[in-house]
Amino acid sequence: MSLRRDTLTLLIPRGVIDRTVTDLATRISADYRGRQLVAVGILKGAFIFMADLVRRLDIPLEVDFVTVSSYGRAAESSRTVVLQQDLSTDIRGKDVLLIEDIVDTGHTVCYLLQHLAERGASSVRLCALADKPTRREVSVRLDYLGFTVPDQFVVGYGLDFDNKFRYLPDIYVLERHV
Amino acid sequence: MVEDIVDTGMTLNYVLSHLATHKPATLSVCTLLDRTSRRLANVKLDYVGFEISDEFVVGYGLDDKDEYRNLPFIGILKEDAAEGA
Repeated sequence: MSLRRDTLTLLIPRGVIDRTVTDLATRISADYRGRQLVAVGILKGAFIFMADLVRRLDIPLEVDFVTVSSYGRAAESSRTVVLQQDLSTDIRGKDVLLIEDIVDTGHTVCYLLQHLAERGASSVRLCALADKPTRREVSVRLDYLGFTVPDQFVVGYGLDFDNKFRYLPDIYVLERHV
Repeated sequence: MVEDIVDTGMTLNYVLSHLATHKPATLSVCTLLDRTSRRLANVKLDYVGFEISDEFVVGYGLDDKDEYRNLPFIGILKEDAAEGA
């Protein structure tokens, strides 16, 4: 067993996250007013962002979740995306907003956007808390974006490293000292 | 284990016995709402947010046919209001 000391450096404080989520919610409410919105969160990472975001929408909507495995223990995004748990909602003819914590290579959201379109959604858009464009391998259109982050491990507010740090209310850069 | 509402307790009991098979060191239950009037199974709730009476509640994650989950508060849904009468 190796001894490690992890250092967390504050990247985005909760007050800034709060304002950004409110701004996103205002835009999404305006764009989806009068439509049949289904917000689909990608577990586990999106659960906190999704909970905060949907509670600030002033329009009716349904919520659903999908679980995919894309991050392994090595923290490398895989090109093979496995859908572990599918939707429980019928999205045919509805307007789907996919909610992700962070977009890096783009493979996960690409796969899911296509999957949702194939399930008969009348529109599919993407809302991501964070974007790490330096790691992009496939082109993704981010319809609603919170923050662009540097090519470092970011944790907190749903984002994890090895399933740790998700519960932190701010977003941090994780530095690992092995 | 975190639950939105404990009603009959049947769901919770099922999930708890499932989690027990994974051999955690301890297993506790935290529920936002407790509707004791409908209880069928005996469950120990370690942390309870609110005890409520036998009303239909929605919001803060709780739904009626997948609606209202996003409300930032908890409300009682009345049927006549839902039908728009």
